[in-house]
Amino acid sequence: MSGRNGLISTAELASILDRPTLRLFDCTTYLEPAPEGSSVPYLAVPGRHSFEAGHIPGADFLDLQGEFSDQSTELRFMMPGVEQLAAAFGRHGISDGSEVVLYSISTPMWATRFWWMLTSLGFENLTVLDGGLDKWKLEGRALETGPAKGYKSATFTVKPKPGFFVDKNATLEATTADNTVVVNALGPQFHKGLEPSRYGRPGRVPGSCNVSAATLLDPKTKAFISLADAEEKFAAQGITRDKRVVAYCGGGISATIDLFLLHRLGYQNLTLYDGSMGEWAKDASLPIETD
Amino acid sequence: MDGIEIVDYDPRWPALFDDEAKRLRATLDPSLIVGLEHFGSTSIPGLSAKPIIDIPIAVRSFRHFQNQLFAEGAPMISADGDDRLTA
Repeated sequence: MSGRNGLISTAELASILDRPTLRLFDCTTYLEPAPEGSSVPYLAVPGRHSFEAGHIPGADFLDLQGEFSDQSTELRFMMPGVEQLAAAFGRHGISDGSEVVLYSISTPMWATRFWWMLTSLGFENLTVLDGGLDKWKLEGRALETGPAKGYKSATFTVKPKPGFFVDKNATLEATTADNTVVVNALGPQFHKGLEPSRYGRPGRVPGSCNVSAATLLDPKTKAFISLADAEEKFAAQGITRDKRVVAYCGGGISATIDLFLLHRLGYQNLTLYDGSMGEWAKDASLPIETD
Repeated sequence: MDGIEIVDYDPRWPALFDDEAKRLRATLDPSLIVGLEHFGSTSIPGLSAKPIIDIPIAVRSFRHFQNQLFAEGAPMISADGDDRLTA
């Protein structure tokens, strides 16, 4: 799928659905308010319900928090050790010869999160479905219902690439580093810190710019905007190809939409602050900036 | 017991609602919003009321709405209804 540069259309996917090497996954997660008194800002609920209500024929379901995240932290959706990931992707039938297609419902952010994780492990035969299940349904394409049948387990070979994930200390260093830009994918009013945050202190990583993930999607179709339009938005914030980019959001999910488009645009030096505001806003030792 | 503050009708309330509604509509995915209204006592001209502008928002799917709030960084909102019916 090298010719697709990370993106596959619904029509292209429909034409390869019967390919035995295809590994197709619904990556959707939902969030629910945490019980009162809980220290976590929200609960992660796997999207099995909506998967069972309707999925692209043959697809399997991936549970981001349950199977593919670090269970030893209260922060949600944190990158776990590579061994855990290798075992989990193997259980879902991904091996060297697989063609992986990822999608999610209502927003591509869950699919792009998995895209970023798999890319960081050196897996390249990988695309995200443009418009996700929403566009697929809108076009009246076939759906299947019921629980995931899964793929036959396989051996997933890990070839980790360094630098895909950074922590708060590296992000703090990046705020004053030369030739580096820190970009926030949250909405502008939360970037400005003018509204209460779900994470604690309102505001942003000092000096960071803002390319809201929502502005990189067509609100009607949920498809990605064109690469030319995306490049314009990034360039307007000083994000140019010569820069190292550190992206963050609230929980390391929506920032992967920014990273996906930057990657498709050919930006080479990309990284994700995995803890994002879920960690930064709570840590009073870290500086925070508001308008 | 804390007293409930009731104030005279304030003619600025409709404009406050309009501003807030505009801001919300600019932020939220239009395909998810079914309705967004000025609700309760501050919406009734001339009526004394608690000075809180109530704005119920009807959404097509509450769980997708929550994902959108998460992507924006907005605080979570509790639902009274059960959105599983609207999948």
